[in-house]
Amino acid sequence: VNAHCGARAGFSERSLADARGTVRTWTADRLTFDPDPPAYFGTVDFDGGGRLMMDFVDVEPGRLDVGTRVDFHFRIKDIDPQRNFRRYFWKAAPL
Amino acid sequence: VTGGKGIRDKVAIVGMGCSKFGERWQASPADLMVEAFEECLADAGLEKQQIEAAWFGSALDGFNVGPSAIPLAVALRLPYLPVTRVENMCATGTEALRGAVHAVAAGACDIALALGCEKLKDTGYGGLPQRTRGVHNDMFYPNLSAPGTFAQLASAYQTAHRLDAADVKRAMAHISVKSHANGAQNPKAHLRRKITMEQALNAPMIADPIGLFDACGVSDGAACAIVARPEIARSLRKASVFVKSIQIAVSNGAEYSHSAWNGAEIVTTRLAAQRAYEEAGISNPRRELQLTEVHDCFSITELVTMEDLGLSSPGEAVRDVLDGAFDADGVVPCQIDGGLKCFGHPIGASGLRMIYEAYLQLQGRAGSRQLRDPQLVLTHNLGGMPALNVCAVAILGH
Repeated sequence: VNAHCGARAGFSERSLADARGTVRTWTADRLTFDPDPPAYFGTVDFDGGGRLMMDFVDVEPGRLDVGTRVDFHFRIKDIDPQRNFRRYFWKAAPL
Repeated sequence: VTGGKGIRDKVAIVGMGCSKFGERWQASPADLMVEAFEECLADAGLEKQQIEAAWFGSALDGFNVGPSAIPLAVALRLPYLPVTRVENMCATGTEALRGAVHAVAAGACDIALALGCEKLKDTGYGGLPQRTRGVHNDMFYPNLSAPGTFAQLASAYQTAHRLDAADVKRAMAHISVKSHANGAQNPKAHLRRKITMEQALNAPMIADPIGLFDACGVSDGAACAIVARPEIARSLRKASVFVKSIQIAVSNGAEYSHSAWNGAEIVTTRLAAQRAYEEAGISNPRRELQLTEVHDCFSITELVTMEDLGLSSPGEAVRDVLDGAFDADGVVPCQIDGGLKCFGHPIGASGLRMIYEAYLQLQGRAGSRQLRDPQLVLTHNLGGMPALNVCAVAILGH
């Protein structure tokens, strides 16, 4: 449901794989589990609209801030060693 | 406030109880519930049989009491009462009270109980236990911790107001130093040691810029209230405490998925506060409130909440905090009982613990931390993360 006009239909699918975006919020989390701590994540605004809280990847410490430009990469999200199962999702990488 | 006539002054709190919060290794959840309830019942001067309905709040059922209303009914051996269990993340405690208050305001019953309980230290983990967010969200959410969600508020707040990171961090430290000083005065508080600015500023980083002393811990504890129609309250005691308003606002996903929200404020806090001020007849909160108990899960949350509640002007909370406006001897003291930071945070009980302090303060029964003649007290109870949450604001007075 569109939060502004209430529309429930008429949406079209858009690929964001090649989109770029801007970091709106971020942190470096040292409490949560991450194989390569700290876990960098935050809110990304896509150019042209839309927003997602997501993991950051390929971060050089001190180089990530509000306003940093990013693009998107399909990466391993976690590995289940018992079942040998890998889960993937999109992550944002600073440009 | 739209539609109905609201609940202002229709319900009185006639009794309250709160267990000691902390690492209660020797106490079961049932023991904690009984501890809070016995104090509450004695305070009200009522018999258990006079209670007609109950609301039970617990947030993380998998980790402590288990699902449904049964754990409360069993712990207190309630006489087969209608008991409802509520869960609304960290706002659960206020949600339980809201259920009881609405039942009395509606005339469905004369006397109702609200009790919140959580037992988290047995998990053996310092923060909130890692838990599934469901099969859908876990597919794409970052593997975030609670401090990781609220830390993002700091980055956006600092950017929105063009503030220096060091100033924001100093204000955050001041907030925690203040809460530790207040908590040291409270015999029921989990953490009772004072800390210094240096300790707060130099503590290990948890999630940038939240350090160890910027984060509340979790605790074991229970808190409860018995609410009743005003006529019953008058027959029981003279100094009753009245509910002026309880409002909640729940995120609809707009902050989370649209770019309009700047991430530097909590939308739901602003809306819940606006509704509560309207219902309670408050136009200038900084002048009219004498105390706030806010959801200081992290010091940055408390900082931003001062603006969201209208107690500080936009971008001015850092200065107000550093000037001591919300210290025990400030303009509007905040967390006089130590807050989540030091009283502790047993999730389902926290909203009712805030109400408990408001209740004691309004009756002049808060001991060494008693403020001078407070008339209106606000509690603010927030569950979730800045972009997606439940906010409950309650206002209590004479």
